Amino acid sequence: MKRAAKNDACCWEAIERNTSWVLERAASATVVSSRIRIARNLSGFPFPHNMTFRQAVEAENEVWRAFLGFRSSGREIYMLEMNALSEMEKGFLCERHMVSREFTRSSMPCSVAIFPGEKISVMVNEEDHLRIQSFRPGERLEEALLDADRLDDHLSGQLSYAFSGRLGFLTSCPTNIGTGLRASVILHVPGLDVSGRGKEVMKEAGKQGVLVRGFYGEGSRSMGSFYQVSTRETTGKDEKEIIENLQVVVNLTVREESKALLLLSNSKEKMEMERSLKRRLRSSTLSSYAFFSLFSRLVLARKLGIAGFDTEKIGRFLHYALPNHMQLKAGRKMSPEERDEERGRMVRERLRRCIDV
Amino acid sequence: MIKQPCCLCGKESEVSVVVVRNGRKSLSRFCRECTGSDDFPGKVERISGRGSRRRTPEYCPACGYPYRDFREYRFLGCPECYSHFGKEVDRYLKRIHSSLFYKGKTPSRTDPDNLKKGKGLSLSRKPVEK
Ligand SMILES: [Zn+2]
Ligand SMILES: [Zn+2]
Repeated sequence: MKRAAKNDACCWEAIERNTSWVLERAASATVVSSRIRIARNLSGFPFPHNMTFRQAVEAENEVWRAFLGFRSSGREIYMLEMNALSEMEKGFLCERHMVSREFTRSSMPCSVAIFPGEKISVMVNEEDHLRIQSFRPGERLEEALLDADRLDDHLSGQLSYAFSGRLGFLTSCPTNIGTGLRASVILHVPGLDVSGRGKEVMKEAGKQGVLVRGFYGEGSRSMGSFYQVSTRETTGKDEKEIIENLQVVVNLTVREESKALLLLSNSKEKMEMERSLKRRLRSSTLSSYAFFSLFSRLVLARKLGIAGFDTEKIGRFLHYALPNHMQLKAGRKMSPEERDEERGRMVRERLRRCIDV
Repeated sequence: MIKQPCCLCGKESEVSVVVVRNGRKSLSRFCRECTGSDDFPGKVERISGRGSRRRTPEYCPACGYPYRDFREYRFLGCPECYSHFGKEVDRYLKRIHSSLFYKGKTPSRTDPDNLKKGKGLSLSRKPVEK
């Protein structure tokens, strides 16, 4: 098994190739992706926010050693020291949901390990010593949990986890105590949004004990018609029960979206939708928000039979509309204005060619 | 290394003491004045969780994290803070979780005495000069 060395440059392309799962179904599915996150801590160390530099390095080393013994089903695992990455590279990992935004700003020794075979990323020294994140395209929370569990089991044999028989896994913030589990899905509901019911349905979901957040989680804005819905409770239930609650909400939302699509397909607004879409595809500049909004309308247009395209091809554009993806690809820093222009060019010159309207 | 406060009085600490509890060792920091006092072992026992009438320590004896920071930021300093700030943390946990009954998985390598209360404390009284 080949292991990527600390931040070797050639592994970057491979990371890019091997982490596209998060948005793989963005242009086709209502449930775009599933994610399981579990928080774990080592028993002999203070929590990351309370560690000295040396303790952080020691904890990181212990975890890295434990990673190396894991039999990944993929050929490689990537272990990246965050402090050795450029701002652009950090931003790229964040845009892929491999790391959190707070993580990219940490000044403490911290790192991320990516297991493409399992579709897993692990942040080391984030809010907790370990944040294991397991991803799957579509609604496959249970599968994502299985893989996260397998890595967690391996690590718990190597490391001494902070665990209490009474309270469960101990976390630096008491809100995560117990299972340390948070399950989330990215939903894409352009039908609900256009028919003006998006907010209402999401509010309803919020009453079912789940959290509705923006595209990049806590505190982020929603982009296009994408929403992130996640579980709130981390204890009092076992892992499966926690996930089930989210699945119920997801199924409900999917049904509402289908209903909305059905109503829209019989409406007279289709002509207007087509006209506005054509206009947007000719925009000279586009912010990332405008791009996501256009993307959602495109997907809706396809579902309503207004436009036709290859969903996989179109899905790939989404990542490259994001600021750090765009800059990394260009190999240089770009001002926000430059990026908006580049996005416009991308839409006019490349995306539009892939669409029949 | 961060200057840790004395676990008993909060003044700057100068001496490390190895506290052995439930077969596990942890290092706590004290000031010279406190370690010199006659009642030192008794005081350490009190902050380390034996007995039910103990008061919440101002600082976690394991990591030096101040209790007031928990009140302010709702974060804990180390896994042991959960037992050292016991009752107060429990009260908070009950407020934010609808149930605290743990039904989830158990790690494969656990120390069953980990954080269980009521298991006596043995103190190796050998201040380590530093
Ligand atoms: Zn003192
Ligand atoms: Zn502590």
